[in-house]
Amino acid sequence: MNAKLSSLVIVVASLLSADAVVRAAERPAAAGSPAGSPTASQAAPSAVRGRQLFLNVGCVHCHGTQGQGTTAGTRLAPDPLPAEGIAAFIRSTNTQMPAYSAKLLSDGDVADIAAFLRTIPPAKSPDQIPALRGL
Amino acid sequence: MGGWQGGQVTKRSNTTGRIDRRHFFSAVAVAGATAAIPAVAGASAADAGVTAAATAPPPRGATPPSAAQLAADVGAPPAPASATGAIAAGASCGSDFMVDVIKSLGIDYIFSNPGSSFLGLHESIVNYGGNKAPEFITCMHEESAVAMANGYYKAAGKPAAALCHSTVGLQHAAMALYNAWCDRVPVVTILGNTLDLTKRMGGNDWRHSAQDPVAMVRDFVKWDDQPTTLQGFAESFVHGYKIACTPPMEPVAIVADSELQEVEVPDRAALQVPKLSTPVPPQGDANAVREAARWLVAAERPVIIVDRLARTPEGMRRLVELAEALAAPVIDLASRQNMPTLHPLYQNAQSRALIAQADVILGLEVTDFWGQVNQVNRNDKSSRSRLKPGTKTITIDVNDLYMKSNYQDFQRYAPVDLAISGDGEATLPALIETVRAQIGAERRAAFAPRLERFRKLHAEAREAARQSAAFGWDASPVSTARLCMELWQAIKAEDWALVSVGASEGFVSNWPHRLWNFDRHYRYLGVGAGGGVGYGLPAAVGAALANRSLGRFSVNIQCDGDFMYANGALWTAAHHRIPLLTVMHNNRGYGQETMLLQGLSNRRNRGIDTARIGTEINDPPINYAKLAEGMGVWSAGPITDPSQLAAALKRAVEVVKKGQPALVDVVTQTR
Repeated sequence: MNAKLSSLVIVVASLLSADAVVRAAERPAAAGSPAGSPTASQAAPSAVRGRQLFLNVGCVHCHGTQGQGTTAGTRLAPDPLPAEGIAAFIRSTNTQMPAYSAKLLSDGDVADIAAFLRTIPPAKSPDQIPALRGL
Repeated sequence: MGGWQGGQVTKRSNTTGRIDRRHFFSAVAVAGATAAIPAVAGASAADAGVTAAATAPPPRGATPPSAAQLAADVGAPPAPASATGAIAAGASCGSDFMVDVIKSLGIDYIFSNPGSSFLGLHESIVNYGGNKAPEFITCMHEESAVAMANGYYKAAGKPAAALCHSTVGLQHAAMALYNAWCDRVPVVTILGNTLDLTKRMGGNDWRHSAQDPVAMVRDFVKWDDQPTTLQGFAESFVHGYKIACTPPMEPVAIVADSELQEVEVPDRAALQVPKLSTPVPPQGDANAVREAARWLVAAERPVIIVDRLARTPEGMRRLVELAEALAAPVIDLASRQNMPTLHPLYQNAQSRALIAQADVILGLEVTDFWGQVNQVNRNDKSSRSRLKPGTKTITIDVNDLYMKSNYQDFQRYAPVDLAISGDGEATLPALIETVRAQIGAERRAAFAPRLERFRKLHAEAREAARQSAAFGWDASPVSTARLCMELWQAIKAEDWALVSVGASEGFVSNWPHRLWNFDRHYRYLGVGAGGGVGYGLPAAVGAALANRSLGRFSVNIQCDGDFMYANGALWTAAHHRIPLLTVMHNNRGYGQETMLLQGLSNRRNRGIDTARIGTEINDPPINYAKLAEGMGVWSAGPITDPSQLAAALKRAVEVVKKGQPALVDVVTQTR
């Protein structure tokens, strides 16, 4: 993903209200190229589409909107696995994490999600956050 | 990073190692119940209504109080219904006597929604009894009433009563009773009913009467009775209270027949309130305890798993003593707050590795021990043991001392090596004494490096949690880490208690137990143990009512789905001036079900983008701050910008410190 697109994603994300974020998750991933569509894998990875997929196909439930992780799902970002690593895991997992077949989430979809995860900036140091100091 | 400061729970008493059973039950049993409780002084005889005693034959399948019974019960022929309903001078009525019985047990509150089947008792509580000890707490739903009694017990350490209206009221109450049953919480349920068909005035009087009203909840109450005389009511009520408070503690149900409530009692002195015999909890067999101690002392990698152990400060203090004596890590499943979270032997973060490497595991009041030592996979419904070959397992609990078969809350059978039936808290003194007696110099030398290793692991886990909390810190919706840690900053200077997090602390990724300082047994009360939604808010209100008189600051992290089941409890908090800070975890959906539906869709290879259908609460989004405001509760939000959270919480804390409830609505991440 190029720098311009990355900046665009951040701007778009900052403009979305919390409510809009949730509502965005209700919409189809992208008009004319639903998750799993063969056409999706033919395009260059799109962080914008990856974010929509991330919110829409279930990743967000356990990993959070920024891939920060929860007790139900590990942290994915910053420094995410490459798309190939993510695909290899989600095709074969038999843990609490549900597997995603290529029929449902193509390699192109996974590449888009990986592109989105790469846009997530590093976290602040907890020492810079008053509520996390001195614990 | 903070560390274990050796607070209250680490202090050793002068009776260290000795068995102190005399004081064990002081928190739940009421001392001083008298053999004959006098009538309430100053109660006006003309204040209460009365009806004639029953004279009709009994209905099919049941035995209502007959005229002869009533006459024998009150020491004189039952009075006919007067034209005015007034009680004769110097006389009393059945429900006044019932209030005397309730007062004798020190029950401070009766949680209830009004109903005609207990009109007499309601009137006696507020007039004859002066609406004090017990005070009538107005609830919006019987489910809330029982949930409040549940939360109240866990904070106060003594039971409250829930008063329910016959058939429909008990139907409403049923789920909350099941939660209390699964949580081992004594709730004294009182149920109105009109057994004598000739006293039912048609319509709802019939629909709201039953031959055996407790039948529908009998699978999850420990004991029940439908007494037909006032003397029988007194004995059954005191007996039921005792049964409820004997481990395993559970709810009980006593029917207060409407005719018994209303019968005139010309000679109150003829009725006696039995003395409460305070039960001593059962202690584990001495030989079995000695064997358990031998295994634990010899173990190289012992682990203690604890769930519903600490009812009192003694429970936490004794657990710390045992863990320190053995240098054994503790995994606290936290249906009660058993282990201080800043103690170096609090090792929840290492639970999987510890169980996998253990050579001896001790389970203390763990309901699902099998679930702790086995790993399940929901995808293929398989399971495998987490234990290495040869690991010895010990349990000390009261789980099998009282059990029913229909509802399956008893969990899967655990084939442990040494199962000791006995109350965990009551058995700990003997276990500690025996452990200490068996530790020689060699074992003591081996324990020292073990403790240091756990001290290091504990510090590393706290730091890892602190680092993790920073991820997504500025996200909108607000991260659950930020929700919990801004809340911690707002309350940590108070004598706080996290009275509810709904059905699971996992819904907020366990941030409180990962980073707050739970250093007292009352800091946390566990969750709705039966998993019945609608527990969180009313249980928090009940607990906050108890904490009000104990000077504790009550905090409730409230899931939105749970809130919508029983939000009338907010009005109860406002009406009764119950100080409670509620912080909404408003993720606009049923998060757990969304995840489960997602997983199933994936396994079925279809519809991975439809998991929000039927699980989302977002179209339209609910404004919880406005709902709270409409019920007279101070509120703020909905907050979507995390930078606004700290200020809102600060204002809310000030409101609560002035004695009022407050609610802060925070739009959050899923978990």
